[in-house]
Amino acid sequence: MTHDQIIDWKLAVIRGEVEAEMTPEMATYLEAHADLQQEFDFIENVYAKHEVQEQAPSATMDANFYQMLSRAQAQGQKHQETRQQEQGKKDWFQLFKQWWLSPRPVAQFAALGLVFALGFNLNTGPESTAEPELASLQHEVASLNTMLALNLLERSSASERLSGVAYSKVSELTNPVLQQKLTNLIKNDSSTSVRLAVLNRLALLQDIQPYADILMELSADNDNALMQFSAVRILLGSDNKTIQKRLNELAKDENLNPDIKALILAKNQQTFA
Amino acid sequence: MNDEIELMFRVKEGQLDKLALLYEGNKVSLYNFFLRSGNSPALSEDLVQETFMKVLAYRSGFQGSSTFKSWLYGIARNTQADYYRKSSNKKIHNDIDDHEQVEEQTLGEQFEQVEQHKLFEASLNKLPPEHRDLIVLSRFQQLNYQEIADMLDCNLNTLKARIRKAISTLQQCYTSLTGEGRS
Repeated sequence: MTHDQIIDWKLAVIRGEVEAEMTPEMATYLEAHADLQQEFDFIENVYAKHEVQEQAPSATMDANFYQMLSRAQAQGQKHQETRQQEQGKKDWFQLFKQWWLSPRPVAQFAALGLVFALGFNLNTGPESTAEPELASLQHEVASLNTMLALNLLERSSASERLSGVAYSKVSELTNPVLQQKLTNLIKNDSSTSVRLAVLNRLALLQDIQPYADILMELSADNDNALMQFSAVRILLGSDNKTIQKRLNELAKDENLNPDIKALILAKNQQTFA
Repeated sequence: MNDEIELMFRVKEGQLDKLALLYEGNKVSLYNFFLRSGNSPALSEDLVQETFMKVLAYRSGFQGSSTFKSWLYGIARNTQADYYRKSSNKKIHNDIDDHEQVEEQTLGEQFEQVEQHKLFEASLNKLPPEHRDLIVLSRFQQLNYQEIADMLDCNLNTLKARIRKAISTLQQCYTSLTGEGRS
């Protein structure tokens, strides 16, 4: 009989795994060891009696979870559609090659060009110029959304910051304060979901150049694979030659996550193929 | 238990809506795990959200070799550790004040029990995180030893030794607090 055996037995009794009756041998051993008796009493009278008082989380937690799940589902669907579109593009390219090799491509191309030129001239009139009032209204709405986004992005709760990121989608990202705020969030926010949401926001930009430095920094950071993959994915989508050059330099780094390296190299091969 | 593994495999295959069932079945206990680990209610909610986001992100890594709970709580512990590593200047909040507000309203013969409860919570909050996690997981989250051993990647005997050590440290903290209270 040992000290450890008696403690293990007592803990097993609390978990309901063994019978609660102590053997005479155990009782004798316990009586002979005062320190063990003290520990035994603590387990019996305090540790085992401490009641579990479960508290219920707020409804906000549920709302945030279902919002996150719905975003993930939408993103999954979008990803699938993109793949289908890419497949469609490949098929279209095959058809184009077959058509180009057929005997009448020049005549058909000329006819199409003529139709295009006629259509373009007929549709270019005074009514196609942008209406200044509508443009001004749109600008005002975008400014209000920017203010709302900035306000939400400064809140302490991650869910509110996520809402701020959502508002930034309908804001003017040329606003330097908003740009700075988003850059700070990517670098320092305690919640990965907020950081990822900002990255997803940036993925929608036509020109990623203002965020290139921070994205390159994230791409080299092996500590958070999720952020790293997202950052590299955005950079790979850019046509900017400087960014592509910097990515190729990064791929040469020996310490870089091998999966990231493979992703960059695969993209390069696809580009040159 | 096996149902949860089955559901997680469905999530892995791309049926993301099945994650909602896993969330509903585990949200309260996971939230209370973070609370008992000394986090504020708001932060505990954020950590639950973060944990399930990682479940989704790392779903392809789920092998079903242990229970879903074991895998989930492994992610939860890492999420919490990541949070405190990133914000190293922040200390874990504890909810003793919250308990006090509720418990101060309790009267008469329940007083001693309430005092004991408060001292126990305070002792738990004084423990190093690895000891506190072991006690919370085995005593309050109802995870069995095998699940905890799988999560910590150790054998049962090592786990038992660690739990004994954690309880012994808890007892020392409790005794020291009781002593301070009486002096």
